[in-house]
Amino acid sequence: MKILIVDDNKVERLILLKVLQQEGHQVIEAETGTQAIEAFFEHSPSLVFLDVLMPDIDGYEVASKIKSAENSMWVPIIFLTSLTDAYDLAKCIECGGDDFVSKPINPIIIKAKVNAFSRISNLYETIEKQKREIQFHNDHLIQEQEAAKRIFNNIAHRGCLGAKNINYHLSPMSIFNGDLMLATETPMGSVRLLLADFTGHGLPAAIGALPTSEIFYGMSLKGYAVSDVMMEINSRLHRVLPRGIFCCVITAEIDPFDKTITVWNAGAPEAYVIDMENENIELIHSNHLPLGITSPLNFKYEPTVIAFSENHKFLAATDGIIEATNSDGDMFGGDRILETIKSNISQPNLCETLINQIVVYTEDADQGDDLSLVEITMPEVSLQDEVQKHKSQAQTGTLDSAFSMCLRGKSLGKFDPVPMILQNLVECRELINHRTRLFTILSELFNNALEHGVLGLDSAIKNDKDGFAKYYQLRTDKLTKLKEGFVEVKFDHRPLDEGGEVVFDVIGTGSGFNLEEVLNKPKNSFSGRGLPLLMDLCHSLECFDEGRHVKAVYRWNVED
Amino acid sequence: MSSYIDSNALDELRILMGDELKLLYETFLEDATAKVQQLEGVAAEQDFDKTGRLAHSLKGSSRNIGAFYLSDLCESLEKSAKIESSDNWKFLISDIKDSFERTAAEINHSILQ
Repeated sequence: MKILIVDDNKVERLILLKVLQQEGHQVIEAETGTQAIEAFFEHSPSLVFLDVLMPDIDGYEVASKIKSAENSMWVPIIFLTSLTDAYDLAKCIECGGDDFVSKPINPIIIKAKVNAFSRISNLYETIEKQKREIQFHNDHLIQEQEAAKRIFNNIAHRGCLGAKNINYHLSPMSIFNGDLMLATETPMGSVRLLLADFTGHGLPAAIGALPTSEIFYGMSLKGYAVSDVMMEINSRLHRVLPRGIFCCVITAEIDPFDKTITVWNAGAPEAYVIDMENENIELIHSNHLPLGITSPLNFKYEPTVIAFSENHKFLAATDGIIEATNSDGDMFGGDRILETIKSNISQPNLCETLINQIVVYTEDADQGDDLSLVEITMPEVSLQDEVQKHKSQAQTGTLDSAFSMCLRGKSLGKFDPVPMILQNLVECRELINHRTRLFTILSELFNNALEHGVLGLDSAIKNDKDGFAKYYQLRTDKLTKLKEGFVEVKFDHRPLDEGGEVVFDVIGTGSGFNLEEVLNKPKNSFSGRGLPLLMDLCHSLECFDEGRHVKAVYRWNVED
Repeated sequence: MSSYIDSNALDELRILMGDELKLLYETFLEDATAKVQQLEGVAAEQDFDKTGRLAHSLKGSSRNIGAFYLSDLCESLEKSAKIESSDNWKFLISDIKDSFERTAAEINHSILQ
């Protein structure tokens, strides 16, 4: 240990020097206060013995100069004093000294003090070292989190959450709270929303967000139904998530043509479908375990389908809002949410209203950071004027090809062939811009053949108030019992001078449907959108074999 | 034999200082000789502050080398300087001088020889 001794009395210095040298310490001597300060900064000792009374600067002043100039290292100062006055002794500590020993110098006490302060110094050194390490690791962690946040936010991007009909509240670090909010327009022209809440915090909670977003955006773009997307997310999470981490999910899809909303809640707090006109609120409760728990075999997607108009609004939140706690330890709770919605039912931005309520309730402005909620009204229909996102590329892929697929009894209604066929079609890159229209044509043709043909369902059922629920129930029942029947879908894609022509043939069993009859129905009725839409999109539409065979021709131009 | 250097203190210093015991006492003599001289001067001038400081310093070093009687005398002087009373200084200074001379003689005779 390097020790500085400061004493104007040479006899005392000699004795102290000897005591310390015998203990193996390196000793630096200073005779005056001025010398002491110089020696301190020149030699950086680990301990200082300091005389109080000195001719130039006294020990008190030396101590305060040394202590005030100290940067990070703590250097103990022990006063050497023959003073006995309590006031003088206290002054030693007040001016920055750490201890005092009385003169004359007693070797045993000096040795004991040095040992004691050496232990404390080591402790300080360890603390300093650990502090630097913690600081280093903390900086590193923050850097990593920032990088991770950028990567995560690129993958789990906000999709179309910025649309005019959506309000949402989501902290920028929400992904590390386990909250995830995704929204996209589908090729079917509907808007699809996902609000997910992973258990846990930090990176483990964020991990699941990656596959969830990839699957949600990837499969939705390709036209897969919500049921397929949810099943895929559940299977993936079931496979990859560690035990104890799972994902509460609310998904909603608004179909502006059918004017319906399809909501499914797996383990999340109740979601709200709000009828602003009739001031009626329907609660959608969870009817499934959170995703990632159930094995793919036991997965069941049973959504609620409700009529949805311009007077409706859908609102969903993660449990943060229910569990927001005030200073008395009471939670905000579902009842208060419902009350807030009721008394602000026509507010254009319910999200903001709710967040403000929570902040008032908890008296904590930062509380909002843990809350994720979203509200959505009817989207504007944009099917017919699809945005040109992709520039045409060289003719490639499946421009000149034919494809056929036939689904029979056990596969029919359980497997949706549309995304797969669509994927085959858009292997011809020029068709990427036509994806939405092709999807609409294919799914209309296939669903007509399945629902009206094979299952013999009458779409007039949907005209009732509760018609949708009834229709989908019937559809499910009939599919479960279905043993026979088939639907065959073919496409034949051929190049034309300025583009190409896709000929669809959809052939099914059952009663078929009468094209003329459907076409004569009023255009604005619920069930009537399918065929008129097909007429609009297709170059030609023909019916054979009493409606059991429909041929549709879609022509596209390079300019499109 | 009446001793101006405490024999226990001397034994301990011998163990501690080893070969440097002589250096320690030489240093003391050098330092103390000067201080006793200065003391006479400042005391004659009735300078309480300087007298007090010198007495304090001499008290410390003499105690360190085992000259307890000299140290006690210096302490008395220091105290009276602190309360700014010079009534007994004449005798005190004379006692200190006398005691120092005898202490020095003893050091020269039994330690430095």
